[in-house]
Amino acid sequence: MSAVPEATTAQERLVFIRADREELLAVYTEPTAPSNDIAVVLFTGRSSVTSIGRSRLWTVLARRLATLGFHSLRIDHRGTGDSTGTERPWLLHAPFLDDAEAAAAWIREQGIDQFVTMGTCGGARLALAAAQAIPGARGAALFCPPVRDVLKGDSSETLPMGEFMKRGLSWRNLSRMRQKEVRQRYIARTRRKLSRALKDRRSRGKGEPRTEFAWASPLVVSAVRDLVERQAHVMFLFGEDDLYYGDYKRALDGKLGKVVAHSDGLVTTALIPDRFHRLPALEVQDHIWKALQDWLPSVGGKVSAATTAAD
Amino acid sequence: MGRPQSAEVSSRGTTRVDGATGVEEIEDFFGPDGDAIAACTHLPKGEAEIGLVICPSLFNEFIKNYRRDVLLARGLAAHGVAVQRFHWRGTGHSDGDHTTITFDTMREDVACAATQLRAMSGVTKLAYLGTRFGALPAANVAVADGAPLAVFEPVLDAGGFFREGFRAKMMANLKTKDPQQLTREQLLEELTVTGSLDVLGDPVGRALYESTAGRSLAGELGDQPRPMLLVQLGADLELRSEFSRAVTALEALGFDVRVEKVGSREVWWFFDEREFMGENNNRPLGMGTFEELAPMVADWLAHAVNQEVAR
Repeated sequence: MSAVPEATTAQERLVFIRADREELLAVYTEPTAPSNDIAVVLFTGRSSVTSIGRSRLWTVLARRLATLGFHSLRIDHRGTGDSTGTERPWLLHAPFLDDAEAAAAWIREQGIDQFVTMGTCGGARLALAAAQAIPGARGAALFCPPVRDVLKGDSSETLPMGEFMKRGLSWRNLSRMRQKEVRQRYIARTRRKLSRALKDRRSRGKGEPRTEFAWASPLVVSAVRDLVERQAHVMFLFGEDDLYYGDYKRALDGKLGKVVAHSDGLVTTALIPDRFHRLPALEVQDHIWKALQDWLPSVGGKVSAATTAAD
Repeated sequence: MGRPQSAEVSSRGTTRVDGATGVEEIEDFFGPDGDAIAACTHLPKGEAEIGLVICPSLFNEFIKNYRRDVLLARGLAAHGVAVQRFHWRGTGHSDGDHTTITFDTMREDVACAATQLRAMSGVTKLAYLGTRFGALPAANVAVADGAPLAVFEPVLDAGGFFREGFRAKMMANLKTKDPQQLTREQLLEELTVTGSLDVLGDPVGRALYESTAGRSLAGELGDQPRPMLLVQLGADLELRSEFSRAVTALEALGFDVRVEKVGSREVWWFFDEREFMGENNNRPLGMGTFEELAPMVADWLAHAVNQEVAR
């Protein structure tokens, strides 16, 4: 069987997509194999240019997806890359759904109304939210997503006190305390944590309801539940040593776990060795590609059976 | 006047016009199929007399500095300068991969970008701007073209740039207690044997490393004086000693060097998400400064392009 070549710029178009009053630069890649009428929309976490991806992951992936018949779109969020506008604060509980909706609307104008979302880290949360919100999503592939709602640089402060202390007193953290900057950061974080705990206690003293800690954000649980109900597929991919994987495993003991258990195989977890962000770029790309080749046939459409030049 | 009638946008490209400044941005691919360069031309409203080719750095620095280059280009176009930005072949949205990048391909990319800018804008007076590693091929082509040169935080010698990267990799391995604590010699051996070395998430190709061996900014500039602008980025209040020595040497050869210092926080080889966070997760650090640089660069260009430069 002959190899299907990966896409190049010859199969790509640069487009500006209108999103409210802004214009988002996007790269649209057409398939090199017969089209399966599905578009993959790729979302990066926070970056100066979100359409390329860390270590060029999205460019590489888009051109490989073309060999399986997928169209794809990688976008610069407003305020990044070549888009207009000012960058907005990145909040996991309020991802840039408006940019995603604009991207989906543009894809529909090309005659495609079925799509899959993919994202890395914070972008994975957007990919999940977009798949939930926008009609036509057949699935979401989430690479190392934070399943809790945390602010950047704040991931430990929202943990329960016991877990916070456990992580703070871990050998890994203690061994870094020799560095002044690390020590100062740790002290500041501990102060903020104690201040938050005190504030919570005062609120409860006034009769205000306690916010229960959950390893998985209710937004993540509801999005996965909705997608399962619509028979859409969700893949969580983590590095075995990722902190976010640790959170995810804890989350599976709770409501997220119940959704996954009753998903009839629609929600799957893929693991790669070591830490997602620490792996060499080419190794990460290859691991992701392998995981996607296993997962994408489940998404449906006319996935090409031809072997790819990438294999 | 804007874009000459003969300047066409390909079917894979797109344009937009900024409502406030009247600047036209043309996003397109140019070059042969499979070997094309992704680029953006910024054309001022009205006739442009001066053009500038912006040559980005590589690896994480290419991503890190991306939006700043976009804002600078927009600012310059609003001041009447036609600007050409591009992605090196093997990076960003261009064709190719990291194994195909060499100093010669980078030099060709700069020259092609200059040709593209002339075609799209009609300008005859051109200058070059290189950031970090981009300063080396920018200098090479500026000399061949008899043009002025601006360099932002330039890499003074290619070997030093890669040593910095390898050191950063070794430091990162130490911090994470990676069992594979390779020496610099072992890293070079890996690069030689496998053809590629991952440095903090970016693959460095052997062809690039070998083809840039021994290259330096001074070497590329030679002894034919030209107007230069050197911009130092960082927290230092004074010009750093290595730049001070370089400027002294250039001035001794008759170069007319203007020096500017821009306060910003830079950690070049590392992908540090904190750099994309300001206080309270707001605007990225150092981002505003590049918009402010446009008038200064435009002012320097206006004087520089009218000076006689020997080829």
